[in-house]
Formats: sequence, C-alpha cells, structure tokens
Amino acid sequence: MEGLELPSKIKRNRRGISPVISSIILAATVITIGGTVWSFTQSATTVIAEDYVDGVMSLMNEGTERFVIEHVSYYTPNNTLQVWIYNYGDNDITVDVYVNVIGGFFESKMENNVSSKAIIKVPISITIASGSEVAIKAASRRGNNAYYTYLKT
Amino acid sequence: MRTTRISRLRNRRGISTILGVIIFVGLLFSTVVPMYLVMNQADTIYDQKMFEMKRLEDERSRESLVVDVSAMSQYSNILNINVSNECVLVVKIVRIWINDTYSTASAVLQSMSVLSMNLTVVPSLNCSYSIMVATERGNVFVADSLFYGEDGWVKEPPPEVQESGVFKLDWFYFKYTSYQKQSRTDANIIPKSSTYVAVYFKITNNWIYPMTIKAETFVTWVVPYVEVTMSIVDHVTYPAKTITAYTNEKVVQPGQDAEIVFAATTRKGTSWVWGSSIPSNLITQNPGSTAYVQLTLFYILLGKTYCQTMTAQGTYFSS
Repeated sequence: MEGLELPSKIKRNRRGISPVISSIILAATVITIGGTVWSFTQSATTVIAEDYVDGVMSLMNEGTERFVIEHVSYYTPNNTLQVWIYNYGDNDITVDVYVNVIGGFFESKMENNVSSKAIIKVPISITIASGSEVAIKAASRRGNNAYYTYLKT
Repeated sequence: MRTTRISRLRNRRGISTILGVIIFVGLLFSTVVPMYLVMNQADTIYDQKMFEMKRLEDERSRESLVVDVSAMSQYSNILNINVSNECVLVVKIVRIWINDTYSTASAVLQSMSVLSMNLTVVPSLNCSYSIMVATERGNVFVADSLFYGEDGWVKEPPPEVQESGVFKLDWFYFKYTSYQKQSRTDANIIPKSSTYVAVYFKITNNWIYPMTIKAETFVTWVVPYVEVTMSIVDHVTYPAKTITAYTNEKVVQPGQDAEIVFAATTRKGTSWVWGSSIPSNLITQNPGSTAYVQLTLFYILLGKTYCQTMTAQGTYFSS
C-alpha cells in the first residue's frame, strides 16, 4: 500500500472531494430509499386504515340498524297482503320482504327502501285462505331480519 | 492516516444512521401512528355507538304503555283513547292504528302520566275495531278490541275457552233419528242390523273469529257404550263401508254452522274398514233411549289451539 501511493496533490484532491460526494451520494440514497419506503408505507397504512374504518363503519351500520314489521293486513278483494315496516333506527335501509303461507304459497317483494324514522307499506299479491297462518320475514341488505306471524281470519 | 480514515468512516456512519433514524421516526409518526389513531378512533366510535344502541334497546324493552279505548257513547262516532305511560321513560307516540289504517301522531308522554285523545271513526255494523299505539322506539301497544253491533259499542272479550255456551252442540243423526236429513244417503241406507255407526254433529261457532277444527277432535260415549271412542272423520261412504280420514281441517266462520262426522276408531291400522272391530254390537236398541257423549273439541282460534269438552245428549231410535 505504501508503494502505490499517488502524488500528494492528487491524493489531497481526492481526499477533499470523495467525502463530500460520498456523503451526498449516501445521503441521497438514504433519502431516496427512505422516501420511497415512507411513501409506500404511508399509502399502505392509509389504505389499511381506510379499509379498517370502512369495515368498522359497515359493522356499525349493521349493528345500529333497527326496523320492525309494525302491522300486517290482508285486503281480500285484490288478494293483497300489506306489510308495514317501520325503520326506527338512524340509518336508511333496504329490505326484502318474504311471505310464506304455511302449507301454501310463497311470495316476495325485493328492494324496499325505508328512510330513517319512516314507515312504508309493502303490498304483496298473494292468495291466502281463511284460517291460514302466514310467516313474514323482512331481511335488510345489511343482514338484519324482522319476523311477523299473521293469521288470516 | 489511519486515524483520519477511521474518523471519516465514523462520520459517514453517523450521517446514515441519523438519516435512517429520522426517516424511521418520521415514518413511524407520519404513517403508523396516524393509522393506529384512526383505527383506535374508529373502534372508539363503534364501541360508543354499540353502547348507545344497547341503551336504546334496553329502553325499548322497558317501554310500557297501557291503552284503553272506549266510545264516547253507545252509538258514538268518537272513540276516546287513554294512554298511560307506566314506565320511567318519556315515550313519544308516533302513530295510532285503527284496524289497518293509521294516523300520524306526535305526542310526548311523560313518565307515569296519562294522555287522552279522541278519534273519529265511522263504525260499520258487526265490525271489530282494534286500536294500537306505535311508539318512536318501535313498540306497538294494543288495546282491547271494540265491537260495534246492533247494541252499539261493546268491549270484545279476549279469546279464551269458556266453560259453556261457546258452541251450540246438536245431534244430527244417530242411526235412524228424527233429525235425519233427507238429503243425506249414507245414514239412510245403513241397515238396522249394522254393527257400525257414524254420528253427525252440528256445531256453531259463536266466536267472532273463524275457528279451525283440528283432527284431534273425538267423541267418547258415556251412555250406553262406556269408553267407546270415535274419531272425527271427513266422511263415510256406504256400501263401500269406508271412512275417509279427517285431513282437510274445517274452518267455521263466525256465526256459521259446521257438520262434523265421527266414526269408530279401528284396530286395523289405516285401513279404515269398520264393522268387525270395535265398536261391535253397539246398540241394544231401545226406542227412545237417551244417549250421552262427551265431545272433546280441539280448535284453533287466532293462532292458538284450544281444547274444550262438552257433554251432549241425544235420542236414538231402533224403529
């Protein structure tokens, strides 16, 4: 190593430039890689956080959904079962109504929108004989159900 | 020389380490910590909401109203509704139902207070009126129904099995009887020497609701054949001597009559061929003798099954 030493001028020059350049290069590399990792992590964590929040909000909406089948009647002249659904929760809901006459017909009415604190009437055309028992189910799109048993007099 | 190199190296290591630490800490505080905070906040909001909903559900289950309805006068068009709040919560009434129509309300009822309202209805004769009160929390409270008949408004009793007087029970036939209908042929052509018998009863539904007679209904003889049981059947045919099992339950409308047929139970499984099995030699026929049976009637009224027993008396003839 001693025999290969360069002239002192050149050596001094190199000694002067290389620490600065190497420091700059090192710093630039670290900043670039760090920035990339930072950027990637930030977007990844943002996506993860948003997904998590969306999931929690969806779960919360499902958990806070409240509705009930308030009343059911049958209008004989046009064979229509009328189902009143009351949404007493804070969220607007979409419900599908299923009607099953025990030992008889089955009918459904899909996609009925009920605003918060509102009541709607869902008419369903179905023939129900006197004395029949009718099982009614209202299923929300968030997965909650309300049930009602109606006896046709 | 060596000292200088080592010093430079140390410096470089220091810069990268510091930069790395800065980036790591910055990354931690600008991404991971906010993510954690956001998630934690979402969890907190969820927990708060769930707690609130649990409280609301608890309130909903504790809501208690007593609704009492009466007419202003016997033939009045105005119904007086008294709603008593019997719980510790403030209750908001949002709807009042009369049968299948509702009117929107917005009455707030303080705890342990009573609210009185008047509703106008145009009553139809022989109609029953059911009044319900719906609350904001999703509960429905039902008053005892009112019935509007020729005597005006009357309270409708809740369905229950009464000791007597619910059904009018009458003999139709017992072999050859004076009650025999000309239109019927099966009873007419059963020979007098026959060892089998069918009994026909007429029942009247005195409820204001339709009732469904169930297949469990049976008749037990008291006099003259002790402990002979007959099941309810759909119908009997002769001369085939067959009985069709009771599968289509009869629905009897309010005030309407229904004829129900009973035949002997058989020991021959489901063949329903009768004659040689019990009851055999049923009748030592004494003209004008009185027979007693006990009818055990199973029926469905407003979705509930009831059982009622009653003793009936009839006269049979040997002619």
